[in-house]
Amino acid sequence: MKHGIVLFFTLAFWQLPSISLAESHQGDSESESAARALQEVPGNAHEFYFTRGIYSGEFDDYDEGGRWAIDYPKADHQFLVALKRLSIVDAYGSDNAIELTDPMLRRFPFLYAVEVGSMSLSEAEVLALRNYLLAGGFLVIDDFWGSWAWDQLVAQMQLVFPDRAIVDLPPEHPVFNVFYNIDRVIQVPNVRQGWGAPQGGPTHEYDGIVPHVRGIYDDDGRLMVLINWNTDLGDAWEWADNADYPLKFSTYAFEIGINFVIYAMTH
Amino acid sequence: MFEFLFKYPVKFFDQGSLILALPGWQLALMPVGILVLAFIVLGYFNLRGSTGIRHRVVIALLRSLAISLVLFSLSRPLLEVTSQLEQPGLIGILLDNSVSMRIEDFAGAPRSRVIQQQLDADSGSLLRSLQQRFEIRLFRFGEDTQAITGIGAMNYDDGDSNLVRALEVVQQTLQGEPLAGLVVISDGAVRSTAQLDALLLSLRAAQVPVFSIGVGQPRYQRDIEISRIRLPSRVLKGSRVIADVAVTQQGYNGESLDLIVEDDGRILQKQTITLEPGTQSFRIPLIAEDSGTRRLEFYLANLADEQIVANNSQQEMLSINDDKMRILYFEGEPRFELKFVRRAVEDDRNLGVTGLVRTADAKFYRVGIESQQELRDGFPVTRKELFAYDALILGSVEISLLSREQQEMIVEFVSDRGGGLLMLGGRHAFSEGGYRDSLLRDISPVVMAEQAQPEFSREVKVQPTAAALVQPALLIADDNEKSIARWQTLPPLTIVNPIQQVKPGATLLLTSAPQAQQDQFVIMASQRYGRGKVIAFAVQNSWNWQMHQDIEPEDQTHEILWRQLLRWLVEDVPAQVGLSLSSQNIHSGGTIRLRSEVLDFGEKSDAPRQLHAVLTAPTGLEQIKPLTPHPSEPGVYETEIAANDPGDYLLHIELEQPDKVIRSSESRFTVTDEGSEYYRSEMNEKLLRKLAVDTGGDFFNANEADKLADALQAHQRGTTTLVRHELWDMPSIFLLLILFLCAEWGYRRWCNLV
Repeated sequence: MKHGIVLFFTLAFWQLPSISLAESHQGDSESESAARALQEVPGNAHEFYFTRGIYSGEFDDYDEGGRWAIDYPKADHQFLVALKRLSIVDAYGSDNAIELTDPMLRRFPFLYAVEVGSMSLSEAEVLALRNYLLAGGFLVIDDFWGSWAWDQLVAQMQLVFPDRAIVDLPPEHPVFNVFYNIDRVIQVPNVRQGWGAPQGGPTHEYDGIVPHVRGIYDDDGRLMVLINWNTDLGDAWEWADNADYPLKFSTYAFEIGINFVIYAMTH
Repeated sequence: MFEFLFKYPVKFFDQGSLILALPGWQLALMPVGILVLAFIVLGYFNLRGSTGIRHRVVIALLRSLAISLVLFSLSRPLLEVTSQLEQPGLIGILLDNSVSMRIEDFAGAPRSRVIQQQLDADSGSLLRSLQQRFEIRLFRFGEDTQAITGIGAMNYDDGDSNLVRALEVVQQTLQGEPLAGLVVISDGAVRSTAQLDALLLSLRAAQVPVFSIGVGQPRYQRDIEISRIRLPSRVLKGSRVIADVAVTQQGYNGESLDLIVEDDGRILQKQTITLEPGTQSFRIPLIAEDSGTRRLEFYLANLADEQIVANNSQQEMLSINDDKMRILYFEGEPRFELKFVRRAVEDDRNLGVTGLVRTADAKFYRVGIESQQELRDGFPVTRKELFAYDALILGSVEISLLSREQQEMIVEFVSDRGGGLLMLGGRHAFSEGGYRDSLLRDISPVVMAEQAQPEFSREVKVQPTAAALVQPALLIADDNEKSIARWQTLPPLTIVNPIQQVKPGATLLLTSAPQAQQDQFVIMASQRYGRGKVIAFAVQNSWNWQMHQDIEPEDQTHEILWRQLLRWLVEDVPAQVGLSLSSQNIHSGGTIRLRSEVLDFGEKSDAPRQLHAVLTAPTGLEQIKPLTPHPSEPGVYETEIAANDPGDYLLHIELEQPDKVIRSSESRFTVTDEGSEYYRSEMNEKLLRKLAVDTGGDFFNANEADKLADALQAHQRGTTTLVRHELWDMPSIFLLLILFLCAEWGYRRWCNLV
């Protein structure tokens, strides 16, 4: 809760993250979109659905819809355009947001969640997420920064898996070369900092200086949760069509994002 | 009764003709006799008195019949039968020397007592009567056939009764002799009747009738027997195996007892069975736990008053393979099915699934490879590369992704290499993937629709067919009942290939639960193709049985199904050097034939191969014996090995190559003192009768053996002559004569004519 309050005041008075939120978060319309997506998705017509997890968060009331929906749905749509353009994955072409407690979640073995620094899972969500991951679901976490957000994620993951460690993925991990060869994990900034990066501006938020790709494994050594900390792939997908957003960030974000999908479908 | 009244068998009257052997001078007396007869008849009618005409007719008739019988007897009636007497014929007598002749079901004595009684040099009644008319040669038969001089050479010790071979040997031995027939004295309890029909045809053509004397009871009063065990010859370690055990019993209806399976003294399974009349089949689920060639013993408890207890148990070998079988899973597009199939079997150390998935146009990703060179250029383009795998899974792969040469290779992979092929459903599979017009259409077990339906998609519940219930791979719970219940509760899957027909000869295993008439789809079917096996599993998301909200995370159904399915796909895939034995149990002193088939695995070579068998006896002694090429089957090598010491023998084949030696898997056989003579040991009257009927001979039970000599004599064969049998002294004539006289006397008394 302490971290959540810090985040609330930070968002209120520090404009950079709020720009991202203001420009992409569509409030009620996004929630309606998610609900509509749930109804429209038949679940079987395509092999892959880019599924965004709707979770309970500490700022849901303030955010008019929840921080799960940051960059939603444009980031999802643009990522799907790239995925379908660059691979032959039979992907559903639109967004697909779903609550963690929705039984339909188990139809989508790939799940994407953002801004988990504000995540505050209910007991039902904890159970649903645990069962989803143990059954074979794959969770990609993105866009959360700094040590306080990390601590919040760790606390939430310990609810899901009390005894499982979060570890760094080694550079030779297949997730880095399953489709594109990713030689180095780079920090992908949000759109505002991305604009300033070519001029030597910072790319990090808070104290999240170094980007990490970490994971949680099951008892058989299978990667269940893939954590992108101190980086914002979602913003890079969302702003890839913006001329001022540096190409290297959006290119990297698409490459590693497609790797995540192919990895999730083959491992 | 017939013979009692008429002195001779009915066959004599069928074959012979009746003549009157009255000498010429006596013939002249016949009119006199007729005159006397007429005089008597007229005398009755001319008598004076009050006797009515009716009485006179009756009395005259009875008296005339009596006189006619006397006249008939005086005329010396004879039955003329063609037979051989001038030159004594030769009879070959084949005596069963097998262990089953020791069974004590001949009035409480062993079956061999029949031979003692009938053929003993001093007291044998049959021998004596035959020797009066024929020349006799004795043979004993069991595992082999030998000429003997007397029954003292019989020891009833052979573990097998090779009757067919015995008849063949004796016929050849006596060729050129005036063979009048062959006599078989046996219980007919033989293990193999292969080539019997051809042999009987040959005997009939040579006019050699076989006369068989059956000894033993055709049906025991009280006995229980394990009469058959069916097991797959080879399975992967850890696989679920169903043993099909047939139990035959008489006299114990309704009783319950345990059927126990042991491996080296360790109980693998115990199932209580309830006995019903005749033969019952029981399916015993087992887990193949320990690798190597295992000798499993199936046995039943001994019951009270059993005729034979030695047949209450039976052994069967099971080769349990601990190799890692390699499976190539080829996907034409990224699909979660690949992830979940690999996930389901990754704990299975006997299955190695290598994934090759196209991720973009002309871009492939390899997963689970054993070396960086493996599949570097995508799907194999050489036989050597493809044949290194034991099975191939084709996912959603449009057929245009495979060249014609690659399609040919896949067909050969199945038909020649003996590999397994699993065709999965998907939007680019079956007709929807263009397979209808491909070479793979021929090997598919399902009939592909003429028109592809790319928009077709339906969620269906899957249900097993009756055939699936006997397929261990589809047993997804501990027993059949639980398995059926589990199938019913599994969530629906999606099909995108509307397949509604399997090919003739294919086995339909899973279908969709029909939602409407004419709306049932094929989900799984299988068929053999050449040496290999092809399975169609036409769903696109079996992973829903792992991920569905109704499936608990710890539920193992998806894992169990895929492990068993892939094990079934690969477990009878032949190794490069195969080994099969003619039998798993032989009698001490017998021989076993071994056969090895060598596959080239895509590397054709005309160079002669050097193969030898390595045999380890129970004593630990090792014997090496080279194999010789089969004269008509390329790639097949054979040899025979004799074994004397009782116990287990281990055996494998080694193929010598310039750079290495390739070993076959190890096999095992057992040498026993008893063989299988105590199984199906009741007197096989059907077989013995067939020997006789098909060759023109006769069948007799042991207590009718004294009829054999006459039957043999009556049979036309070789140098024959006419034998006349006197009929005047037939008991029936005298009985009739007394009858007529008594009738006349009685009639007179009744009518007060005395």
